[in-house]
Amino acid sequence: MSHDALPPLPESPPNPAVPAGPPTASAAPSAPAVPTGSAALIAVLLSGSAVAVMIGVYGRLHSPTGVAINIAGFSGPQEVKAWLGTVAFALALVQLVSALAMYGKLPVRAPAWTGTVHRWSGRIAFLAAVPVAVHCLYALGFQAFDTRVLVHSLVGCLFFGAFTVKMLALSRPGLPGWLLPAFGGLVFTGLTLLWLTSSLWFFTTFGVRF
Amino acid sequence: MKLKSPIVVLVAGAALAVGLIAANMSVFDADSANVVASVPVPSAPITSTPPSSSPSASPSTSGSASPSASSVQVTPSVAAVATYAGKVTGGGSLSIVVKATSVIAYLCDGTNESWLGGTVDGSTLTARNKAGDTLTGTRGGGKVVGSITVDGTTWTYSTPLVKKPSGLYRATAEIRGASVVGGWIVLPDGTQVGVLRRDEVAEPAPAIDPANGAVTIDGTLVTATEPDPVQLTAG
Repeated sequence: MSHDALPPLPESPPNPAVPAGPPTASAAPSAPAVPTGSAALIAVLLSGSAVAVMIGVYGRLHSPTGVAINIAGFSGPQEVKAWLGTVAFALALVQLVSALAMYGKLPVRAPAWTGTVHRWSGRIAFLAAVPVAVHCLYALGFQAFDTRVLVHSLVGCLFFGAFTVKMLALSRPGLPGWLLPAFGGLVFTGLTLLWLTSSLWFFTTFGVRF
Repeated sequence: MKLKSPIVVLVAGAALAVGLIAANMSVFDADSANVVASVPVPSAPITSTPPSSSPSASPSTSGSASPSASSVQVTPSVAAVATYAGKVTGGGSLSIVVKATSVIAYLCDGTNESWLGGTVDGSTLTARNKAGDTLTGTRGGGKVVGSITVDGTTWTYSTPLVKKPSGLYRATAEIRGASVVGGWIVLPDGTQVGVLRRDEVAEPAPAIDPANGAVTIDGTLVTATEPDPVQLTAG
């Protein structure tokens, strides 16, 4: 099994000491510190933006079918989505706790397997979220007919963009240390909002059912 | 150099998404025989429901043991009735019911509403009402695509075929001396919008139970049913 390195600990905060910055008009002493990996950073952020925009455009342009293939064992696609979303959200809570542990933000010492838990809970959560998103995009599309639906549509696009950034950032060395926690937090916040505006809404509107 | 696992995760997710979309498209987009098209399709009537002997499109499931709003309920309609429902672009919900050569359409966003009646000629739908609202559409490929103009505003729409409990509901009643007309649209994702008109004053309607159309208006239990375009447009 492959081991991607633990997320780089924020040992190097966004470098305060800029050695010999470009001698261009430095009006303020706090001229934007250009990190060494700025090109990589921009590439990663652009990739995520592209994913988010692509999803949104597809959701808007593809005329919703209203129906999609179902998964056996559930009474309907809405139930499947509500539960897959709930699984993803539960795993996202695992993500939050394991990430905090890895960054030493918990009072307890993170056990050695924390990284493995973080990686695998994340992978499963992502793979659980993909069929939900496909159903949303294919059957329902990007919609804005009320606040819940608009928030859900926007955050849905944002979530996959932020997730792309986070995954790409993991595999690129030399990126600023704040990137992973920031985008990890964004992914978690996004998934939480998605869950609140879909699964929780569904369960409170129609009742908890399978 | 070994593959980096975050990239593998991304690629796996993207592959899963593409695979699911492809599976969906193979099932639904190729399913153009879903509707009576102008092309002489070998058979396959609407939703391939065998012609039932009950011509009433009433969704009364009062005797049903499963009150849950499962989306796999038996369609109570005869084969000649097709119900479409969806969102208009940037606006409210639209549902269109087609029976024989008659059409009834209802646009509703929970505050404003419009009922339209009309006819089908081949695959072309046209509907209007006294207020001057108009709807045109083309049916085929399991959906109706077109535009609707209400109060001077035009929306485009692409509404797919839907099955009970999704679709159009209407209830008329005399409650405490007031003439009450309610309209509701239930979309496949479970969302519903409805407007109640008491003596021509519109207000958001209380939600119906999609399982049986039951709704309580001013303390009176009323059952909303799918309107019959033939009866409703005859008058």
